[in-house]
Amino acid sequence: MQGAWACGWLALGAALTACTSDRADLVIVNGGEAALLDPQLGSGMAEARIGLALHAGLTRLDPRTLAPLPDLAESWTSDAAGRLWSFRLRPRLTWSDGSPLSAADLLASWDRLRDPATASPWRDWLAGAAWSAAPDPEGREVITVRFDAARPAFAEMTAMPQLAPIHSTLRAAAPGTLPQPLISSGPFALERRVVRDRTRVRRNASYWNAARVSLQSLDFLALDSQFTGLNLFLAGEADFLPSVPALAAPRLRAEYASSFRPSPQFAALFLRLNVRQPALASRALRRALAMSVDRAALSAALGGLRAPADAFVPPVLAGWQGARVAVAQFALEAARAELATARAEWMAAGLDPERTLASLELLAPASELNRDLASVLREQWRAHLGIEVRLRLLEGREARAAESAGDFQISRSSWVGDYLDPDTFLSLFRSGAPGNRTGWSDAAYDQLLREAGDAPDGARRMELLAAAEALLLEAAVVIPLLVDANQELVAADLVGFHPNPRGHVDWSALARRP
Amino acid sequence: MAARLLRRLAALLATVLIVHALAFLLIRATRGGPFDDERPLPPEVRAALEARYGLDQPLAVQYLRALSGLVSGDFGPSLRYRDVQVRTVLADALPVSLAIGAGALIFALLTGTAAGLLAAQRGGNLERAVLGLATVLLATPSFVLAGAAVLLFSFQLGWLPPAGRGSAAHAILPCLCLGLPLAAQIARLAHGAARGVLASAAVRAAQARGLSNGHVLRHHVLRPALVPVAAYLGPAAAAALTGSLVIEQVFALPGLGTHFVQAALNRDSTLALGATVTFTALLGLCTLLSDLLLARLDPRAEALS
Repeated sequence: MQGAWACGWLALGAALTACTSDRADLVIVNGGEAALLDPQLGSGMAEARIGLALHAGLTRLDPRTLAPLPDLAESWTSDAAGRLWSFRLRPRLTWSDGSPLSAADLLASWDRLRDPATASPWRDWLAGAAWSAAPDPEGREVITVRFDAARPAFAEMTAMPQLAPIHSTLRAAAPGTLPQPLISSGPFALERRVVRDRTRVRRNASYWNAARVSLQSLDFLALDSQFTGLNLFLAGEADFLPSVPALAAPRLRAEYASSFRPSPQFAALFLRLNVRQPALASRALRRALAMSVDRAALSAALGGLRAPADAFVPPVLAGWQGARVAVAQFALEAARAELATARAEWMAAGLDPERTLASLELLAPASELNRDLASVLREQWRAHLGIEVRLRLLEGREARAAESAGDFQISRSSWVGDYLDPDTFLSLFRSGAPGNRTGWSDAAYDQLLREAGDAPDGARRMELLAAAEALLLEAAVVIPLLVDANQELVAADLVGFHPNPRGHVDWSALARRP
Repeated sequence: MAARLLRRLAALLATVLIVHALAFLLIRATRGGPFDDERPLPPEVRAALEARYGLDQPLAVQYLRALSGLVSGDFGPSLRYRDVQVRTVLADALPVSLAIGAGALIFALLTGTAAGLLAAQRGGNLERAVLGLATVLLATPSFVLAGAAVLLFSFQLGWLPPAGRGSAAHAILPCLCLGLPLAAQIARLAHGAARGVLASAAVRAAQARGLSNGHVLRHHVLRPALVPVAAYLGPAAAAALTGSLVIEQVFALPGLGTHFVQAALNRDSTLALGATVTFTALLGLCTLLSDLLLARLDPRAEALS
């Protein structure tokens, strides 16, 4: 029997050692699991963080200013309207397996991205574009891209993994399958991936600028729980957290000031209003709801990390003034006047105003943040307008499906800008666009976006986009709430990290302080 | 014996098939799909994805395809992690869940049996303390227990890492938190059985012959006291495997439990079916093994009937 007892303890020891893994130079808590490592198919922040380590673009972004810097392309030019672009490739570029990387690889990658059979969510990034490659007098390959509308952010977009060259083995594989090994062009190469555990990347010695890469390996942990991520950070087992639990934010601000520096993100929290619903078909009611939201109070109630939003496009863009319209401000008297107008319209149409208002419902994906946010909004509408809005919390995917199907009245939404341009927000609400979801359509709005695409210069384009934003806000089909915040928590001995509105991290520039 | 064993295995197979069919229907009945993200997909992209993964086919065709995947052991690609096959995900996750579950079960068996026997033999304050502690542990939710253990052992004492993997030390807290409620139940079972045996004429006769308490405990009490523990092993193994769901989340362990939950939330039908079938088969096998052990310990138990 004593032998069995000893065997038991031995088996326990064996079980304990069965789940072990070594530590990388840098451990990044990457939020949920990256769904896909194919850079043309992945669509979330988790995928983007890994993609930036694995795939080099024509440009890379300066993490301080987010201005594009040379990467695979040593230089580039564009015309004033941002329609015609030329990128001059560096000589002797190679993939992570040492084989040569050419302009043909890049063009074939873009062909694949635009092919409907690839089913890439980023297809529209290259909509209306034609490209070619030819050697210049010095024998360098030059890639020329011509758009049918202005694309002033294209140099920045080419820093994204979606537009990076992908190797012929990945191009030849059926979309949704990943060749082994995954050959890439970035500062790191894939070493291994265990779903819902970690993705390990290792320094790519074949990267053209490998000399500036200091860290030898990175681990991207798939970890949904912010609390567990924080525990790992506090125990020194993780070095980078993309976000922290709201409960912990005040104390982290006070005690980890050098590691935790929240900053505005190019991302918005807002409400979509479904104009196909009888009550919300009333523009006056939509405006009343918009003007009765006290965003400053909402921001404070949610911990103050997210700033109040008085426009749809987050105000983090250099040279962007955006629309400043009354309907996006807290104005109680005006809100009550709009509500009175709505009541009068319904009565004139033979509708019972109270019954119409009683149907209002706020849809939100179930989460702690949304529960708190919805609670504040409902209280404000109750106190300011006397309107009782029901809350409909659904599990995340169910909520998104309901929103996409138009099965909602008011929906709590969010959007993170793909690139630093107002168009990435405003084009969501083009007539019939998949991201619109509100049933709203306005020919004048579509026309303004079209004209912005044809604008002869950047300044005129911004004026037209600001006019489009004003039109969208006046129609009150979106109610801006808050500007989202970057909440990265970064190890104090890590240098090269700079908070920025896109949450963009240049992994190749990070190093440990000696 | 062999015929009974075959009957049990056939029943297990039927259970797996029924669970598979129900899980398939439940996932399909739930609103939302694997491609419903915040980023809207153009209609042609969504159509291409649905065609690629057969989601545009009639339900019956989809079920037959899932059934053939079950028979061949190839569930296809995960619909969420589309560049990974479900069998790869399960092959990566299963050892983690089994290791943590086995560690917890062994810990629970060793400590629970010892505590139960000692409590029964010594009685008095020790008995009250063991039974009281067992009651508290059984009533404590695993996420509370895990949080308290992390706070104490990782941040107050600094002895153990709070989560993750990297060394055997990383596995101690998950095994402890998963195993303690099981140990509490085993202690109560062993204690109850041992109390009955200790009061029996056979034990009193052994004590009258001058045998030491330790000898009596090992040779006369242990085996009969283990009978209810063995009967509990099936449910305990099930609890160790499914209970690891919360523990895996708290300690960031990439086990089967995490996939089980996330696949359902992601509407990842292929992975959800794979995880459900794996869990069902494991639980069935654990119960069967527990019954076999019980029959071995106590021939009176007609475990296989």
